[in-house]
Amino acid sequence: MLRAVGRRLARAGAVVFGAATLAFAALQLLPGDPVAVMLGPATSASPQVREQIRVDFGFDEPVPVRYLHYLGDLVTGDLGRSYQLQQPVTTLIEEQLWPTVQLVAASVTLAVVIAVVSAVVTAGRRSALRAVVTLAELVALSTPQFWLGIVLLTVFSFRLNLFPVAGAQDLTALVLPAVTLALPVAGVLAQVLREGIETALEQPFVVAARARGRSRIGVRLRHAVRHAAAPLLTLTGWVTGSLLGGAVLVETVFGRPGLGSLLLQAVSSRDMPVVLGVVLLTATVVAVVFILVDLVQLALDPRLRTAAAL
Amino acid sequence: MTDIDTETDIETGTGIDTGTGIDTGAGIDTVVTGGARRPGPRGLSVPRPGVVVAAAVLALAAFVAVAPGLLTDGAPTDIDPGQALVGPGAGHWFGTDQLGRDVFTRVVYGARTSLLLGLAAIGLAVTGGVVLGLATVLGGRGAERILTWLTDVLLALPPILLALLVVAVLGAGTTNTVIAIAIALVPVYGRLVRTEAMVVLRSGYVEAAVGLGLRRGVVIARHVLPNALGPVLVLATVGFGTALMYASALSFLGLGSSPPNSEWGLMLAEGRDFLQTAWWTGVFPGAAITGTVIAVTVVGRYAQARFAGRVDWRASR
Repeated sequence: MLRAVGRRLARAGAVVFGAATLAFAALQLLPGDPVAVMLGPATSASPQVREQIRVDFGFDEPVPVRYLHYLGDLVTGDLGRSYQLQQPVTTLIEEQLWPTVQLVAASVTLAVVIAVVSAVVTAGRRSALRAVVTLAELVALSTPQFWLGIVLLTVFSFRLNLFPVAGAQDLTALVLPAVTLALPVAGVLAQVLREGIETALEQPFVVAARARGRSRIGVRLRHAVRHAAAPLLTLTGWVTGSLLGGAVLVETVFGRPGLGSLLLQAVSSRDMPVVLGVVLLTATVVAVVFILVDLVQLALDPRLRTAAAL
Repeated sequence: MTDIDTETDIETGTGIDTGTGIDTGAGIDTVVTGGARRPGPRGLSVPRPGVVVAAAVLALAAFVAVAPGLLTDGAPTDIDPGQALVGPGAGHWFGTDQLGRDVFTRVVYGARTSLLLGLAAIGLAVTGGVVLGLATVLGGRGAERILTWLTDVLLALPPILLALLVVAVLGAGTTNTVIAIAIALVPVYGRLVRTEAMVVLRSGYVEAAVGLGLRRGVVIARHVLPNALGPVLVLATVGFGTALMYASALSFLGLGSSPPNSEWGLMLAEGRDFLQTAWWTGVFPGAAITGTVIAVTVVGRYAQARFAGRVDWRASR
């Protein structure tokens, strides 16, 4: 098991290292002078000031030296300084992290609950309800989050005045963004879960459990869902990524503070250190989630523990 | 219809009735009893009327994109300040925006830009995927390792974030948006092409072709590529919807098309500022995006179901 963990850590490390290198390459590819980007188009900065900035940010060093410096800083948890906001990127991320974590956590909970309920209730039935739910899932997973958010805003905030229009002041402000972020993910999860449950319901152990007198819903919850959870688990990495990506759009629609807003602002002003900081953080989170999922699956399913997998 | 069903039953083995005899009426009603099941993974099957409606929506979108002038008299840039923010009605079906421009006309004219953006992005992504995928198959062990690692890195990033990163490097604008989305989607198609090509390479006809002394390039061009491409193109149908969605998302974020263009995502972004008083400015362009994406998804999944057994549908996302 220790070897399995080690190998996966090494692979995740390679991915994060790759993302960091890619980020550094992106920084070098940025057309134009970073000092000019930093100072903005309308500037009267003297050549001395420019030179000072160049030295401060280390732009005067050759590329390989800067690459090593950059990697060294990353290892010690230093993501550099923002060009625009004149603050360390880590500070900026720390400030904006909490609202995004809240949003993602709320969405993931909501998505899983919706998916489990709709899949457990409709799996294996040929009813009108199933047809309606399936259609709703299809619509949910193809609806762009930015439009869904706008529709929800129009209906629930502007028409019915149920929720605040913008911000992240309290829990009521979390409801609409979380629903917006959760629905498309819930659509996908529900489909995969239903497929899994339906496969499980055909297995002999289900018949055996029914014969032992378990109720219909009891069989679904105790036996079928467990089997269906495995394919769902493999989607966790994808879900994490899609929630983190979707947060950019949802935060923009609802005017919420968070990593997404920070990233978007940085992209618009081409504040590369901030862009790269957020992107690297996301890649790291996704890579770590992938390892965890992999290990959990090994722990859950002994059939996967072959020599090749360990 | 029935012949398709029986065919897939044999192919995918779903017709093996594991429990028909033991069906005690206990509610295990999923057990297959013949050719009643539609092809493809169960959760994904789409009822046939839905496919017809979706195809009709797509045809309409394509028609509107080709000949917008047939549906509306005005021009998308006709300004009429006296008629600003008028609600939907007989004069203006979808109402007017803050400059008095007819929203219906703008949605109609926006179809071309929006569809072209999605088409260009997915086309570029598939082309890139074919090059990348074949390179990993042909490049030998070292190249394969490096490219697999690169794909792993790119796949660890959500596509929209990857696209934003590219836009941050290249700058905003329509062309850069297309490039950004293509780069964000390339790893998905690269991996898929690789998988498909590996399958084809192991087949008997490729062995025969090699045995006949055909050159590597000829074998790839004549046998591997055409056979590996089918499933890839099927997945690209759904991918077109995704690309369209990302393109309008980037426009919505203010990084793609710029005013006074009529592009659906951009119109939605402009409409956001007037939501409280004039919901129609944002809701209709958004509905156009959503309707098109849903239609593409339905048609794409139907195509995938027809290819069932050959395509891993999970790669489509």
